[in-house]
Amino acid sequence: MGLFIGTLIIVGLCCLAMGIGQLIAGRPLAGGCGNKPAGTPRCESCPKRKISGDSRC
Amino acid sequence: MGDFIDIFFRSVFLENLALAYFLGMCTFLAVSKQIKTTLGLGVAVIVVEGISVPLNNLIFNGVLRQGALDWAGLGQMDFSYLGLLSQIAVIAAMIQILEIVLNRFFPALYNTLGIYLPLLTVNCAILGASLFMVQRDYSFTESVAYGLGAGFGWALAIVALAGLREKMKYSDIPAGLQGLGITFITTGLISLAFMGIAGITL
Repeated sequence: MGLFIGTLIIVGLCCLAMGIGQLIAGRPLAGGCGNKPAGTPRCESCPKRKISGDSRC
Repeated sequence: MGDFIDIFFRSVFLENLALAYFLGMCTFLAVSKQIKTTLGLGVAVIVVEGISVPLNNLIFNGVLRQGALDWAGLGQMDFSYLGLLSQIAVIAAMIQILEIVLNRFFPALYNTLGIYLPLLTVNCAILGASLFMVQRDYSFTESVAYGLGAGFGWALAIVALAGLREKMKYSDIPAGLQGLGITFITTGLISLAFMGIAGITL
């Protein structure tokens, strides 16, 4: 049980560390292609935008 | 102090991450066209390595290693299998902070490095240094020396390659070897030169 809870805490802290840029900038921890926060353009930072065009990214 | 200097010079010349282990080759080959850019990237790698390796050492020895949590009565817990995850998280955090700093204070360098700056997160040279630190069981001071040395060694290698590539623009290179072909050969020759230093006893 202790190992499980410890793992959960460490993984949670690691996830927060990976999103530290978003946290510092005050942005919500959501995003990525196809999963943008409500109200933001879906294709804004999609790397495939240049390849596929706005309609398919 | 002797150990500190020994580890530093060993990681710069004998165990150079780029030229002895061929780690971080993607960025090494792709961004080594101009000395100015490589200097910026080199400094970024030194900063990231210099902070992330000692920080990973503290986290591994203070939290993850078996027996590290003895003080909390959790001595039997062994979280060392989370080492890789925590090292990547620390490196990712460091890169993001570096990105914010560069974007704020050195926008020209930030734009020049482009996609290669966030890609440092998954740069084998940076993760490799943390993994070597764990494998070799370095203490905190040794990890500081190793982090700085590994970063400096990688920076030295990429700046040296960029210098040669800038000069090679004026060389008459056979058509089939132009571009990456001659760069691979040059990298191999620099690597051989660095291996020559192995004969010197430090």
